[in-house]
Amino acid sequence: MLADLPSGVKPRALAAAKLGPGVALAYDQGSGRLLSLDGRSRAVRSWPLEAAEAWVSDGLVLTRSAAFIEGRGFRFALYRVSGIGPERLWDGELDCFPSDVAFAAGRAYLAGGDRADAELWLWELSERGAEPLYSRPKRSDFLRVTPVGGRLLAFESQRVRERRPCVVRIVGDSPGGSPGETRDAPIVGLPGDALCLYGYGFEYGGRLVVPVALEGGDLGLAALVDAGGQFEVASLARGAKGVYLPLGPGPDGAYRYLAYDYEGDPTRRYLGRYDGSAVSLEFLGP
Amino acid sequence: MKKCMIAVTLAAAVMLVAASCAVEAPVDELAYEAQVDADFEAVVATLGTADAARAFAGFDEKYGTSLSVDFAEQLSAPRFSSGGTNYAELLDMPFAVDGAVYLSGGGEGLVSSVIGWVAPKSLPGGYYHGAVLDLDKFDPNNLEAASLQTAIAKGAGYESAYDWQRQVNACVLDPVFTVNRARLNSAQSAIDYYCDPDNTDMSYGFFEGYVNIFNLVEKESNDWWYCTKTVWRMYDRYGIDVDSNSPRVDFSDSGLYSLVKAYYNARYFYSSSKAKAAIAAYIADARRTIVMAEEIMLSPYLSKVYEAIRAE
Repeated sequence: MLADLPSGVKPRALAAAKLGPGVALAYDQGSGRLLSLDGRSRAVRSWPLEAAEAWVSDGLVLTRSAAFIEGRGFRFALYRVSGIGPERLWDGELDCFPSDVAFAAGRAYLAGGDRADAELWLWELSERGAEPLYSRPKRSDFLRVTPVGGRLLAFESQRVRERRPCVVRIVGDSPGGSPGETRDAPIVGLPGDALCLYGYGFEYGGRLVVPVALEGGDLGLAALVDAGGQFEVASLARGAKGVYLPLGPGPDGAYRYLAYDYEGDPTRRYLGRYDGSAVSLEFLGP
Repeated sequence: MKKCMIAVTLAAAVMLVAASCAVEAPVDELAYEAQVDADFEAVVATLGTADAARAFAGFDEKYGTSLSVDFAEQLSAPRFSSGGTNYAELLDMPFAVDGAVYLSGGGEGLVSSVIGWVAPKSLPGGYYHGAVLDLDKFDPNNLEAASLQTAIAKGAGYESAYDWQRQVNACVLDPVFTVNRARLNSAQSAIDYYCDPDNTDMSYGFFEGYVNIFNLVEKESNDWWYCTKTVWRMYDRYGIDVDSNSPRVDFSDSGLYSLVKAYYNARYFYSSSKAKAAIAAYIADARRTIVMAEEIMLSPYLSKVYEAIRAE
């Protein structure tokens, strides 16, 4: 399906979403329209939506403006999408260069760094407004966020593959609940050749799965279990080629992701299949 | 002696004929020039609108110029577009050096059509668009992330590696000097855009006004922006002038030159030398005042490390 989309649809602007005859929602930047697509990637409904970038889920869409307004930031807008089209729940300006967006419990969670590259921020966006949940100094890294088992888990993906502490940030108590204190939970049990977290994480089987850069250029997937105060590595799958874009569970229950290692080989993309302990790759082309 | 006399007589006759055919300056030069100025401003103000074709044809008829032909492509082009091309991705384009300058040309992938046709395109690639990489914002696991600083119709803009991999023609220039990281970071975050975000048309371009050749935007101006000025401004903050003003950049190969030529030929129709001098003075001032992509490409402070040219 990815290969048949309009060229203005960026990878993160697509999600499975049941809407009448539509089975997916996509934002086409070329035409400036939100599309409801059928199983053959044909637009069955569309609505105008102005954005330079959009993150799409089943029912919610977050957009970012092209312009960064001096002293204020990009303009973001959160929409609820139903059969009658997108309905704006909130909009506002945030000094945030997005590095990840997650949706849970009718809210959007926006992670990113500020314009000065000084701070990483995690925002909760809903019709009630934008609430900062977490921040920490930015050090050539990018904040990722994944809702797992009713909790919001975050980590920093490094820009450079070098040995750095691997830590999960447990943000608040539950998505949509009142913000609680963020706790740092170190990851223990990584092999000696593990360097840092590098790529996007996802939830699989109730566990947080994080991408790990390994010595020699390899990239692996570590499934983590909460061991109270720390996360232990339950399994490590090598040869993952990097998680560029988490997609979701496939029909066989295994998790699918777009595997792309820009630094290793920018000319090859794969569809990754992860079953909780091992990875298999299907070459997609450049 | 007789032959000499005949020659002198002939020469005098030729001079007399020439004098009788010479075009005289208008009686009231100031009033005439004011009329040309007003007509010209009114005409260029229609570029990118439905009135352009009729206005350009009217100016040509009145002043004997050929603007309708010279600007046939621009008459119906929209002023701003979202860009985008269908070329294959330039997957080998490097994004590894903080402060690297990216230039592009060819195709329609630019925000404002005026930037494309005003910029001289005298070198291979026909570059007119520019951006500078902020490596701290470049995420190797998300090439769609906004990480290249440029200017867009509404002021400060950022583009992504994903956007740049889809340019038609592109080159990458690395600094040839040892970059002071702290100073570069400071320069990257210090560019102050004062554009009014609600004013979508009139704060972007080489001119203060969509096309107003009498108001070139100074590189130092905080109120008007264009993409290559953003590159220049960031490095100016750093302490380096990347506007080479190189004579290799041929301004006569630009839409700006065609406009200026038509204007001064109409204004000084009675004196080609006066028109030529005015055109040369204008272009010299433009070369100094604005900064074009090709002028940056020829900066001695930058070195080309990558280039892909896929269209003339």
